[in-house]
This record gives sequence, C-alpha cells and structure tokens, in this order.
Amino acid sequence: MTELSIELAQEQTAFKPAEAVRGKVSWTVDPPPQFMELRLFWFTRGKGTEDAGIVQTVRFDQPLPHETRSFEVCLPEAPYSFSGKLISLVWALELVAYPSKQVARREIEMGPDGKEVRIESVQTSGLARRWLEVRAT
Amino acid sequence: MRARDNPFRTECLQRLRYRFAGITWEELLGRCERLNYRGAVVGRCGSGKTTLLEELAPKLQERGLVTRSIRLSREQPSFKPGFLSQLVLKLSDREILLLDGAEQLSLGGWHWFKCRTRAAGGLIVTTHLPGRLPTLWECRTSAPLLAQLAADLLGTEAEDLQRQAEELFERHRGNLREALRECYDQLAAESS
Amino acid sequence: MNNGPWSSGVTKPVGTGGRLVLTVFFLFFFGLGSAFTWLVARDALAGLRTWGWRKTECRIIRSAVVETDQRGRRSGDYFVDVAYRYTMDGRAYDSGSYGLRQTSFRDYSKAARLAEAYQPDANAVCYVNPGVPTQAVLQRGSLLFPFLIFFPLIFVGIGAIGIYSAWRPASAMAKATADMPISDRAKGGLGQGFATAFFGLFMAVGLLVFYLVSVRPFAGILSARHWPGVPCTVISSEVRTHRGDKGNTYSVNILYSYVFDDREYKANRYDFIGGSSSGYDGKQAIVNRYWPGSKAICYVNPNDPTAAVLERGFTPTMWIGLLPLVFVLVGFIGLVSNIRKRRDPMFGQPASSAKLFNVAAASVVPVLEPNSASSPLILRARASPAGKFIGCTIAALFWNGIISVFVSHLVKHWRVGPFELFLALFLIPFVLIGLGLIVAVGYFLLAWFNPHPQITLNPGAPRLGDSVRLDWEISGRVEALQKLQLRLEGREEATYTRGTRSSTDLNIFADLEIASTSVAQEMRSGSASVRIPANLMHSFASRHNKIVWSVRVKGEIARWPDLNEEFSVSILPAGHQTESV
Repeated sequence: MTELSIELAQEQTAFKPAEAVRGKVSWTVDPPPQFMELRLFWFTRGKGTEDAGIVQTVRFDQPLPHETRSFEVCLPEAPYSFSGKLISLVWALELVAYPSKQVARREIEMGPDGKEVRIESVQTSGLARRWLEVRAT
Repeated sequence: MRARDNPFRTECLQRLRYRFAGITWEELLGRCERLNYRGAVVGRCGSGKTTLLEELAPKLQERGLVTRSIRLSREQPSFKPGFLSQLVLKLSDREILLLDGAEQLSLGGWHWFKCRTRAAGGLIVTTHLPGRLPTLWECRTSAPLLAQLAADLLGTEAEDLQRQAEELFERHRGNLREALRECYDQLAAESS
Repeated sequence: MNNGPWSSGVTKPVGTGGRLVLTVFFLFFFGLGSAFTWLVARDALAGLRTWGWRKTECRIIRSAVVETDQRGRRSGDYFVDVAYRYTMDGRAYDSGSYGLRQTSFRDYSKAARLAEAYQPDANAVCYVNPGVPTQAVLQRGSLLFPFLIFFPLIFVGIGAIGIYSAWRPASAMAKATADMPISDRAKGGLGQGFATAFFGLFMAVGLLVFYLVSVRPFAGILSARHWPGVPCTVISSEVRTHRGDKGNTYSVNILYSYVFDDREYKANRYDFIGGSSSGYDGKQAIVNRYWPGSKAICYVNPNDPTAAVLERGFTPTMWIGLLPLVFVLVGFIGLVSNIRKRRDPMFGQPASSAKLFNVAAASVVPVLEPNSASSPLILRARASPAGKFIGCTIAALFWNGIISVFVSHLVKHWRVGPFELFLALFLIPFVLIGLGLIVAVGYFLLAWFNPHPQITLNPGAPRLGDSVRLDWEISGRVEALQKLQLRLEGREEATYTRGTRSSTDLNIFADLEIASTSVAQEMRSGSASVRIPANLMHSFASRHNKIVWSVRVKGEIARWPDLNEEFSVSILPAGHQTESV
C-alpha cells in the first residue's frame, strides 16, 4: 500500500514571489523506498505542449516505510502563475518515491498579490488577427 | 476560461484513448503476431496513429515483449548522427521498435533504417500511406467519432454535439487533432 | 511521452549470443582503427626521430623530375630523383633519399620546383642518422603528421566503447507507471554541446573544401589574368583513371614544355581547379585537342616560371566548387540556431557598454544584472532588412546557379539535337522556384530601402507597472512615410507538437499604442512614454510556451512595401530581481 501526501503550513496555497513555502510531507510506502524527493517546480498547461521547470529539490534519505518530515523551500521571483487563453503556468510541489516513482502533487499559486495573473485576449481587427496568426509546421 | 481549465487543452487531448471500430485489442495483437510484429499503422494527419502506437506499447509489454519508441517529425525528419549506431547496440530479438513518423524518412533512409534494425524482434511504424510495411491497421476518422471524443472531454452526450462535429469534421477534412484544437479556440472565445 | 527521437521503454540485457555478435562487430572497428593507428604512429615516430639526426653539409650530384618511382614503376605521377654526397666521421657516403618515403607529385610543376631547389653541384644540408650513417634525408619528418593519429583513434574508441557496452552489466530501470511525476518533464540543456560541435565541424569541413575547390582556383584565375601567353609543345596527353569506392573518376594529364627567359620548363597543369571527377567524355575531348607534338599557348607565372597553365579562365567544372557551400550553409544554420537556443532572443543591444542581462542557458525569465536597472537599451529588430535581403540573395544565387547549369545544357543540346522534353518538364518546378526567389530578392531589395527605425528603450529593463520611454529615430527615406505607428504588444505563443507536425498559436493579450503620427518631423524622430500594466504577465520563454513582448513599428508607404518591423522587449517581473530562476 502506498500513500503520499503534502501538507502546507496553515493550508496556505497563495504565495508572493520569493516567499518561503513550509509544510510537511508524509508517506507510507511498501516496500520501503530508497529515498524520497520533494520538488518545487512549475509547469504549463493549455494549447501548447506542456513544459516544466524544477526550481528546487529536497531529498529525504534513509526514509522509513512510514514517516513524516518537515520541509521549507523558497519560491523564486518569477515566473508568476498565470492563465491566459493559450497558456497557464502552474506552480506545484511533488513528492516522489524512488524507485517506484509514485507521486503526490500539490498545486500552489505565486503572483504579486499571491494570486495567479489573468491575461485576456485583446479584440484586434480582423486584418490584424490574420496578420498575426501564424501556423508553423 | 483559463487555459488550464479548457477541457480541450493538450493534457486532456493526450489522455484520450484510441477508439477501435470493428476490432478489439486482442484481435489487433493477434494480427501483430501473424505479421511477425512488422507492420504499419496507416492514416492521414490527425487520425490517431500516434495515440494508437503509444497505447500499443504497454499492450506489447504485457505480452513479455520489450518496446523502444522513436519519433520523427517535420522538424527532425532524420536521425541524429550516431543515433542508429547507439540504437543497434542494444537491440535484441525480444525488442519491438515503434517508429512514429516513418514517412519522414526518404526511401533510401527508410531502407537503411530497416536494414540496420533487422535484428529487432519487430518494427511497427506509423505512416501516412501504405507500402513501407504490411498494413497492421488503418486509422479512420468520422464525424461521430469526433463527437464522441468531444463529448468525453466535455462530459456530455455525443448526440448533443453531432451537428458541430460534422461541421468541424468537414472543415478540417477529417483531421481530428485540428478539429479538437479548434474546439479549444471556440471554447476559449465563448468564455472570454 | 518523450518528444525526442530517443525514448527508451523497459529494457532487458542482451543475450550472450547477441553480445558475441556485437563484440565481433566492434572488434572490426577496433582492429581496423588499431591497425591504422599503428601505421600512423610508426611513420610519425620515424619522422620525429629524424629531428634528432645530425645536420651535415652535402653536395648535390643529381636532381631531376622522373616519371618512375625508385622501383622503376610508372603510376602517372611524377617523382624527384635526387642524389647527394656527404661525409660522416671521415667517411664519404651517397644517398638518394629526399625524405624517409619517396613523395609522388601529380603536378609536374611542384616536382620541378623541388628539383630546382637542389641544383647539381650545389651545396645543401642533409640530416644523417648517427646510428646508421648510410641513412640520410634532405627533408626531416613533418611535425604535423603525428596529429593524424587522432582519426584512426576515433575508430578504436568506437570499437572499445561498443565492446564495453555489450558486456557491461545492465542497470536496473524502474518500470514506468501510469501516473508519472509532471516534474520529470523538466529537462536540462541536453545535447546542445554535441549539436553545436557537430554543426561547427560540418561548417568547418565545408569551408575547407570550399577553399580548396573554389577560392584557391578562383584566386589562381585572378592572378593568371596578367600571365604572359607562351608557345608550348605537348609532350604527352592522356585521361588518367582514379579508382574509388563509388566508381572511377578521371583527370586530364597533359605534359607540355615551354621556354621562358631562355630556359626550358615542363608543366602538366590544365586548369586551376585540378583534381578528378566523373565524366570521361569531356576529359577525352580535352585530351584530343592536345595530342602529342601539337602546339598550343600556355600561360606562365612570370614570378615562378615553373607554374604554368593551359586554360586560365573559368571552366564549366568549376561550378562543382559551389557544392561545398551547401555544407557551409547547413553547418552555419545549425550552428546559429543552436547558439540562439542558448540565448534568450528577447534581449537587445545595450545603449551603454554595460551588460544588462545575465542569461543562463536554462533561464525562462530574463534576469537583470546588478546595477543596470536604469541603463537605456537599443532594441534589436527580430529580422533585419539587410539580413533578409542577403539571405534571400544567397539562396537565389545558389539555387539559380545550379539550375542554370541544367538549363544551359538543355538549351545547348536543343541547338544541336532534339529537344529533351522530359528534362524540361523535370526542370520546370525548379525554375519556378528560382524565379520566385528572384522576385523575393527584388521585394527585399525594395524593402531594404525602406526607412530604418532605431528604438531606444529607457529604462532598458522595464518592469511590470513601470512607465517606459521610447525614443525613435527613423533613417533613410523618411519622406516616403505617410503615417507611423508604434505599439507595444504582448502575446502568448503556444507550440503544440504531436505526431510529425508542429503548430504555433498566438494570442495577443496586450496592445498598447505608444505613438501614432503623420507629421514628418515627428516621424523622423520622437519620444513617447507608455505605462506597462502591472496586472499583466512578464516575459517568459520555455521550450513550447512563451510570453513575448515586442514593439511594433508600422509605417505606411504608398505604392511600396510598408515599413513593418518588430523589436523584442524584455518585461521583467515587478519587484527587485536578484537571482535567476
């Protein structure tokens, strides 16, 4: 049986740039893992192929089969969480068990106001829209 | 609507499973075996060849075979220098090569690839036209299929989307990928 | 799914039979490479040893160009037969060795120049083996030759790595699970270094070959314009066959004699390109014109009378010299695109010499250098008019240069024989492309004469919420402008790759007018400010998804291509930036 979880301090999921993210990770992994890894990363969602970027990794060595540990990671200044028409950028924490690669994920938001930035489409003229739309193969 | 919430976003499209018509997985795998695991998944752009090939891999692994996936595209229509030599290094007769985009290779490149990888236990490719290997399966699309896929993504009934599906299917000439991407745009535009 | 061309599933070790087969395969590489390595090493060592031989004075007895080697065999090449006498420890010795190995020359003039350097009865310097005084050379071994050993070592390396890989224990790999971590998609800059080195090597080889088959012959043609024409007599003429892996090639070998400054010389150079190529008939036709005993005119280098040539102008085969440009072009494009991938394309050129941005290879957000927040920045256009014109011109010249060979062949053939319909039909699409390129050259040429804007941003690194000033100066035909517009645009760019296709969608989320004027003076130069909304997204670039900010300059010109340029701008996040992402 495998259970992984990530708890955030005060259940805070909204953060400002460069703010610290604190919490606890818990796991019950059978057979016992070789090590556990907590990753702070961003990824994209939307109309484009998804990209991801790991910002910080915390490794938990010699883990017991059932354990809870604290963590503190630091968000960078950027990129902000944002959502537009084509792209959303999401920040998250992932707890990964090795070697089974089982995972638990917790999404958070990072922005100037602690929230994701929302960007909308601009209503351009039809000519401009045709001028600007590009389909590259 | 935020990009991350759009039901037609890339993540959801890539989770769509291939829908067979008139055949089951067991029957397809049986066909694979009869062809000695050498065949082509044929179909036009956006007909689900890549999806089918991706789902075929774990099915073959369940049968105790080992799969190795390779992809070519218009941006990369040939193998990087040294790639084939590396590939050949570890090939065994228990391994099935899955090549997505075989039509990107020139005729000479294709024959060279086939020759270099003849030690593999099998070779299954995707291609737009038949001819390079015996046809394992031909991917076909239809407006009802598009309606079904869209309904699954929206969590609604396919009948409700039949008319729009027919319009999209005709506009995109059967390319389901482009049709679903237009659905993304339409939904994003409606909600803004 | 891994989008690259290499993606491994679950693997099992190769069986013993497979390992043996692999071992035999790679032993071949290893053996062949080792054999060549040994040969090169042996010759290199022997050559290096001559640098320890004793320098001794000698007297030249004989020096002449001959057509047979030391064993009396004819190969079509020329050899220098030299003999000299030297004294070692009170004893006299004779030697006939120029170097450790006898050198052959395809070019008679080169052999003649070498023979010329060692005139009979003249004193020279030779190098004597102190351990074996009968062994001496006039020319010691090359110091560069030992570096050739790296080429066969590559095969040794391939063989050794292959054998090791076949026998090393397989590493355990985790079975793929359906729910993989999303963060596994994060990748570093894998393969960039290899790709850069590969394209760099491609371009270097292309440049080297281009120099040898095009630049050097062309330089020869230019210098030979002033060479005097001298009557010459053909001694022998033949088409030489050179056997190769992919078939035979042929070369023209015409030996002729001439008198210059009351001295007789011989040479066998026909034209400046030299070498061998396929096409026997053309070369036989040349040889037929220069039969033994016939008279002709050759052109002699007055500064070096041993150098002469029969055909000093351009010959049709010289078009082949353009082919290496394909390799140069491919290598250049590959190199530039790889280097550009390492840089954020949104940076402009600093107005001051201070570097504004620190670009880490994996950075997705521009990072400001310390103390550079207020420096103005001259923006760089995404694609310059000159670049477009030059690029298009090179493409048009190259394409039409090659196509014209076939078209001229078609026309020449049509004059003397039936019209080659199939060739004509085959050439039509290529000719149409060539014509299209010519039209494009014309368009970009006209666009090149368009007014050129220079945009300076102050501060050069604006943040969200900042007010930024843009100064513009338009040079060139400003008077042609009827209206000028500057806009600040922010857009999403999302690239989707699936199967064999890739497509990029754009969505503009910000379109801010900076300036719009029809007044001539204001169009020529001006300044305007714009506030960047604080609630929007800063610049961002990952592999498939981007937030791009740019300044668009649009100038309407009647009956002429409009001015239409885009300048990339980096908008930083609000707040102080201290370290990269």
